[in-house]
Amino acid sequence: MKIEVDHKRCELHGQCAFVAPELFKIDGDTLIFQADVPEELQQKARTAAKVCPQLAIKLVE
Amino acid sequence: MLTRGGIVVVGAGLAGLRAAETLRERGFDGGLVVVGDETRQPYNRPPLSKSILLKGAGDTTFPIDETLDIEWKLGVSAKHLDVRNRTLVLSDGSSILYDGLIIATGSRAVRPSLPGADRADVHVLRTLDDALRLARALRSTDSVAIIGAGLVGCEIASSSVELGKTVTLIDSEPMPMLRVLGRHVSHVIANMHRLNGVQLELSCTVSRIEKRLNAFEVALTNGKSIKSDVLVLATGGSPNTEWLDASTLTLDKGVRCDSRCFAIGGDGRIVAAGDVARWEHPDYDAPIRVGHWTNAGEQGVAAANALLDPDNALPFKPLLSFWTDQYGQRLQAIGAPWLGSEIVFTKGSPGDPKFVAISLRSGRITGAIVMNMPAGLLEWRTRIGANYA
Repeated sequence: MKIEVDHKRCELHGQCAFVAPELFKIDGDTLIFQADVPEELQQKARTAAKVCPQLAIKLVE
Repeated sequence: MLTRGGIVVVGAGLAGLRAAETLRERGFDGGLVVVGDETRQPYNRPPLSKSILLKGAGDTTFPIDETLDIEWKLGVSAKHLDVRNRTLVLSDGSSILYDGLIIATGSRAVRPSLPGADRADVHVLRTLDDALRLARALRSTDSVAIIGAGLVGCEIASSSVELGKTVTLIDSEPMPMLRVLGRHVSHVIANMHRLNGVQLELSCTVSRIEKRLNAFEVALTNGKSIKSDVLVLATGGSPNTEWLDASTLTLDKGVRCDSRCFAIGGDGRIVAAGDVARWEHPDYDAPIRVGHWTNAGEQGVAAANALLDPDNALPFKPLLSFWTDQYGQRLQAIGAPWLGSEIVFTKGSPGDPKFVAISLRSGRITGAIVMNMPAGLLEWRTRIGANYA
């Protein structure tokens, strides 16, 4: 599984960084994420995609 | 663990969609029907008061995994529930037998009971169609009056200013968004509106709405009369529970649920989620109903999990959160800032473009409000944890 973030949509709500801090971080005004999702974090990645108010997170299997 | 049979989700908004997705993710492979009274597939509502008003168009449909095998019944509403016979009756006359039911019928815009409020040309904003209609009306006019300075009313005011309209915002409270933000931060919101040229008419109520020629005249109890081309009622939402009136479920300004989202008066096969649910959040003194985006999704997931596996269902006790975008500023809140009796600014101060404010009651943190600092919010989310109210 790979994470893709549409930076044009992302408005740094930070919901992803709260539910999946292993994968997403906010550093000042930038979202930093780990693109490759290890097996054990896939559920967290799915949750992160669902809580994004901008629908900016896409998961590619 | 319920894995077969049929589950019906009543309501095709965010809560209903997340519930349906969760059922499949957790291995439920029986029949899954989602009933929605709008003809559209589930769509995202936060843009309605913002980008949809600004552009007059746009697609906010949620991406939906086609492999979920959901039978959609759209443009159909629920009419009656027979709990004993596990039967749902729909507006098209059909009935569905279910093994599990998820109630996610949401809420609708309320029109206050005052003369003129029921006019068809007085706008409300709840659905995408409402937003498109309001956007069309704004396009060809100069002024708008908004009754209700809650979150939705404030965002409509902001979008209207961006569209170059003359805006009046009316509320019975002394400050906008007072009930959710408390007075210190409400004051900041009031200043934002004033700086952007909005006429605030606060601490007054509307006694009458009339239309003369092409303009509305809103008579206020402070003696003023506000004239506008467009009039919007942003006076809150009411849960859609009428279809349950004759059922055994307990209704109390929403579907009353226990802490795990099971409907009280049901048979253990009925859960509720989102705007329609009033549940026993363990951290609050009285059952709460929450109409915010984040809760709809989270409760949809929790209710579906509880329905599938009641024996292992835990109390649903989320840290509440909401946000609002006005005049290019992003305000985010967590917990229950309105329960605080004092507020402490840990970063910045009320007039600053960025700040973090913590609300306290008897020395305990009840919530946090953050302006333009998402990283600041994250820090407090982690620190406040679950027991805040």
